[in-house]
Amino acid sequence: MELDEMKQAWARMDLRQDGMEALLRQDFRERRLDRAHASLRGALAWQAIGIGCWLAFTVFVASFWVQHRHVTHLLAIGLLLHAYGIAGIWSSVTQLLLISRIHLFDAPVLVMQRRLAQWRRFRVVSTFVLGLPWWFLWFLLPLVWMTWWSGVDVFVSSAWIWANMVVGAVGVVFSLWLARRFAARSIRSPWLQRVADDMSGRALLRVSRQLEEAARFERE
Amino acid sequence: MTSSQQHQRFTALLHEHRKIIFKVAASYGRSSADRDDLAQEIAAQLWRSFGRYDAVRAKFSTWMYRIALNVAISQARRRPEAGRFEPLDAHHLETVGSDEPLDEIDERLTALHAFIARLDPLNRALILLYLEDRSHAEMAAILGITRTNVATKIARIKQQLRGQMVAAETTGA
Repeated sequence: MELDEMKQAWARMDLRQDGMEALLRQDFRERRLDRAHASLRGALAWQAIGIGCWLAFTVFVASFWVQHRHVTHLLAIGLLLHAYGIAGIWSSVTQLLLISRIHLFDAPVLVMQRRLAQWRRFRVVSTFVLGLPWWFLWFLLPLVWMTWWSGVDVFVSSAWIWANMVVGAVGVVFSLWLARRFAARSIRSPWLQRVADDMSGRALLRVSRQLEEAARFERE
Repeated sequence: MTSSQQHQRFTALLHEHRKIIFKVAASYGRSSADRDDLAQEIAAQLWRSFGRYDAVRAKFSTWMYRIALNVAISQARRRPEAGRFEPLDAHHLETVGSDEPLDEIDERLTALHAFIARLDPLNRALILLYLEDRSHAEMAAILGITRTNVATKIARIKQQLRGQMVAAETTGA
């Protein structure tokens, strides 16, 4: 059968619309109308809250390292956390801009799919870069806060801190191994599946293929 | 325009062009439930974007195709391993103005649907627009490629289909 014959068959075919239209109208009237606008406002508000939190975090760590700039290890920890905070602000602002470019879905298909893939790639990379340091931040942040609050340098008991640094390093390696091991399997929880895909590099590979596909579609 | 007037205008346009939603959902949804869900998702996204629709810049059908295809492709990509395509069933199909026996049309539509399912999401969008008899200019505006590119791709898909048919006949013989 030729494509033109298929076109004729398609023209003579119509989709049974009664049931589908009733479903569409009912659902649209009852739920989606308000929810459609609410979900967009929610996504943008969530990103705005994220930027606010990162700003507060960065201001706090800046005041910390400025206050302890004469103590080398506190200055180093403060500067590292400051860099982490700036990365967080950059990630949230970029995601806010990317979401505002894609939320209406009314761009030409190729442009839109490329933007979506770029946003997904950015989300995967920033989740990875901002997520893994938590193996160290979970104990560094409370210590920084205690030092700032009490004025006493709690980092002096270095053996305990080094032990946790080693645990953190092992944790990073272990989470990467675990993600690679489970990424190929089907995980029941969509959230865990997403984490495994992001951490193992599988999501990045998938999104890179989508970008290649878009480029090929445009080129050929 | 008040919110109520905007809603009324939108519902009227949605009703007028509803086939676009159903056909996109039928081409990208994997199962019957999936197709219904996709149709609802497309309608929700259309309403979300309606405030920015400008009739001077694009025809309503062009704007609607863009959104419907973008939603459908995104959903297909979110669930790449969601299972094989189920063919359109009697629940979704009816023939219009034809004297041909339903079986013959069904056979061709099943083959067509199987062919569409094998295409990647972007080429599937192209073939859907071709089957819907859209002009090359409108296809180019919806997809974001040049008219020449549209023509080249259609020719290539025709060739691919011909190859598949020959292969199927050889295997069947």
